[in-house]
Amino acid sequence: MSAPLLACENLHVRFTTRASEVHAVRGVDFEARAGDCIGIVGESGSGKTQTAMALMGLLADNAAASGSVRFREEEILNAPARRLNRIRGRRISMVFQDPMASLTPFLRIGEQLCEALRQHSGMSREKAKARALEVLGIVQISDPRRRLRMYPHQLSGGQRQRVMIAQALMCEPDLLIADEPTTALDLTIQAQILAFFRSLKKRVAIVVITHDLGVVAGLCDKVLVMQNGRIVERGAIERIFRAPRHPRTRALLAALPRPGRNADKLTPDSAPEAGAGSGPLLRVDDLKVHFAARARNGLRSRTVPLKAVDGVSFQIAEGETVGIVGESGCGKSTLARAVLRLIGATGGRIAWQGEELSRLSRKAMNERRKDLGVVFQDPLSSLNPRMTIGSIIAEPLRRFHPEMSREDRDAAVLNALREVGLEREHRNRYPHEFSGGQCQRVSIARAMILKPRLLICDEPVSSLDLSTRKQTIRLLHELQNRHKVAILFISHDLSVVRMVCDRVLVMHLGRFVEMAEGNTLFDAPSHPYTQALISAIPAPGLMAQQQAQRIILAGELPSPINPPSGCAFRTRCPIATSLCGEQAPAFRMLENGAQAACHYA
Amino acid sequence: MTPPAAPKVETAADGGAQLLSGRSLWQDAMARFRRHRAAMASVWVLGAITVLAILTPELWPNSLEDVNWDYLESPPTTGNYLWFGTDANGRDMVPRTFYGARISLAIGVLTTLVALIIGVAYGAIAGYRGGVPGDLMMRVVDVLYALPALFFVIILVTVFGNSFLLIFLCIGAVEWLTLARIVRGQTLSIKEKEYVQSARAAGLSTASILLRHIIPNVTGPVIAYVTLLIPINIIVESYLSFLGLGVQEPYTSWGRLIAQGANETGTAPWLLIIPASFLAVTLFCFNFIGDGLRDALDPKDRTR
Repeated sequence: MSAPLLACENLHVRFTTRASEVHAVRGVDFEARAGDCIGIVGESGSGKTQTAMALMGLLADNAAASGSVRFREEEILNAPARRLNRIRGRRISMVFQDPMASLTPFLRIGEQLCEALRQHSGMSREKAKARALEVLGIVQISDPRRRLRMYPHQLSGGQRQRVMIAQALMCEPDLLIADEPTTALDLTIQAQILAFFRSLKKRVAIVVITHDLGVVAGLCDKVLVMQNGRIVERGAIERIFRAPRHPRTRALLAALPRPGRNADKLTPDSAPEAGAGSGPLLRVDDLKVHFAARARNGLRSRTVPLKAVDGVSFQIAEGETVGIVGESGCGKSTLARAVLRLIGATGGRIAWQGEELSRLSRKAMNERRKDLGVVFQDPLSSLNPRMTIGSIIAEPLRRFHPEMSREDRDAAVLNALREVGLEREHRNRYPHEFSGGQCQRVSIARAMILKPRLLICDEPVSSLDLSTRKQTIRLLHELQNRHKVAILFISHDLSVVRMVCDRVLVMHLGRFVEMAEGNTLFDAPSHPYTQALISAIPAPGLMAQQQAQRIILAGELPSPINPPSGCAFRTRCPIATSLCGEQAPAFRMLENGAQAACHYA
Repeated sequence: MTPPAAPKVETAADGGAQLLSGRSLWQDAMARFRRHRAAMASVWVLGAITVLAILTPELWPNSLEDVNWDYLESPPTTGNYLWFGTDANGRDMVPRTFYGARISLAIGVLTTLVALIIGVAYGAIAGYRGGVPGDLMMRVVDVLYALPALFFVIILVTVFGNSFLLIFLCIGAVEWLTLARIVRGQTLSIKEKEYVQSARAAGLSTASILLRHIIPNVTGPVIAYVTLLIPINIIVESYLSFLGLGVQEPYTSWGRLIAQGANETGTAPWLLIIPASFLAVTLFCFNFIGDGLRDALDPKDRTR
């Protein structure tokens, strides 16, 4: 057998901080051979990213690595930068997690792509550009010639990730290390990128680092599971999924959404008494939120409406859980903010217990906020970094119960902390001392402290690890059962919505395309967009061949400034016909009780 | 239903956190500030200079304006308590230096305070309000910027007469412009943060959002600028005095003493060196205190 491409032996990484020493990686060894595709899986903090950084010689200044990393028999661990630079970017390339932060915003795509290549080979500008075009073709980006002249901010998240991969492929490396390559992306775009990685396996050996076993399924051949800086299990992918040995592997597997229909469904303790004669809690009618966007037209610019939310209607009954699902940019977060009157609606009505919210004065509206809780997506930026957890949770109390004594307020905060599973000592700490999941618990405690009647959750778990995700959703569900609060649950991930929601609305480009009971939606999705979203959920049971049969949407969400004529989904729809371009389908009732906006549903 | 697993906090916070009652940022900040050695030393040094500035001109054997005929432009000497020497008129530099400290410290701190209050409030409101009113507020700032600051002060002083209080207000009223811009810029980005959205969704009034969520989060750049502003204001006062609009003889300030001393560096270097050293030490102190405050008000800072 030939020598391995990359051999990593007994790798240790230690960080020295003023307070203590952190032993992040504790003796990792593995080999990658040409044609291999290896997945390194573990939760955040398991040392998987630091392993990759050590391989690339990109560790922070206060880190020390020991052990051995050989690339084609050459020791590269702790090698001088000059020697490393011969290998880095040329023979081994890396794709980082955050596609926005990993591209220099001031450089055009073409310049970024050519930079490394010209550095390594001294290639002429024209040749490098030709190579860049070729590579952009490989990563299947549309209109590559125009992309070369664009800046990173002009591209969408999925396109930026493709550019990142293109950059990594410029010098035809032997090994590609991808750190959470799809975590920041929507599931539909994740499915596209993963399909593309599968096609890439023939060209280059790949190491994929992720917290999501669903990502490595159908892509990798071997999997390493990491915990606390050690590899706790390794094996062929089929074996790992069929017969996991280590408890950590089992936990990671258990965190995956399961394909069975009711497998993950959390059943309410008692069915919600749907609006017992009192009408819906919240009723939204034909809500529109348009922003003024500036469109360049030669030298002149003119203002055109960007229809972020374009006529949506729904209602929520007391104690009910309603899910809204769609890709990023479809307007679901705008919808949530409009319901809360954090941004003004352009048209339509929002009725809260029969009372029109948009007509209320600001002061009167602020009084109603007592009954409206909200949890946002980004756990850390949802919490003021300069306030202690205790004062963050107490803030709504100070606002609505200023008469409360300090002792009573403290007691309420302690109680809230306990309800969300945090300790009483945590109250005097600051947000940055907590993990994402814990911060999200604090956000939930703050939203729930006034016992609201409606809790709006805007992607509450999307930036969390899979296992933390499940815990957080369980917590929400528990609180809902205890306090009988209605929940409007917004997510791009249908598998999450499925766990909690009684009713699901699917949103595409500012409009609802399907509305159905949870089970109906998953068993028999009517709209082709819903079908694609369901198909994009990574299914661990499926292996390579089956993965290939999944519906993968082409392209991305069209621009809401200039939406396609007729049905807005037709440009990506597998069953679109000429009728779809001429006539927008109406939202209509189907036989199975669902409603959908499609000519062919 | 399984209860959620008890989460662990990764970072061990500083000990003694198991207090029963909640702490606030300000209490924590005080504790952190006390651990900042340079800042604490600076507080003591500045305190000493302040006490000397208050007491010396009153208690010193020689007064501010008495002429020592035997010691015209004398270098520092122990005779007749002329420890800092005398100026060309034979006046004792000890009470003059500390009287100058009184004026300069008062001007430096109070004008900066005026600028700080106006600038932060104006900038935060303009940034948070945004839209047309916010833009209008900033255009007003632009117009004021366009006026030469010194000219503006001179007009105010000549119109309203030459009073000490007026100098505070005048200098403060000119120096807040930059602060307003800095704070507005920071506010524009902070108001999009989800914690401000949460505060709005919790029904908080605009005033408490500004006071609790926005202003505490702009302290970093604001303190950095304020520590620069104090020396600038001390110098501005010396220009004004030089033009006859600030403190008048026989009273004096560091700015004036330095300006006068600079003319005689060849013959009487102590006239420059002594007040200039005091000014330098004071400015160092303000800078260290600024550093200490910035670190103390940032809970994320764990280096100290």
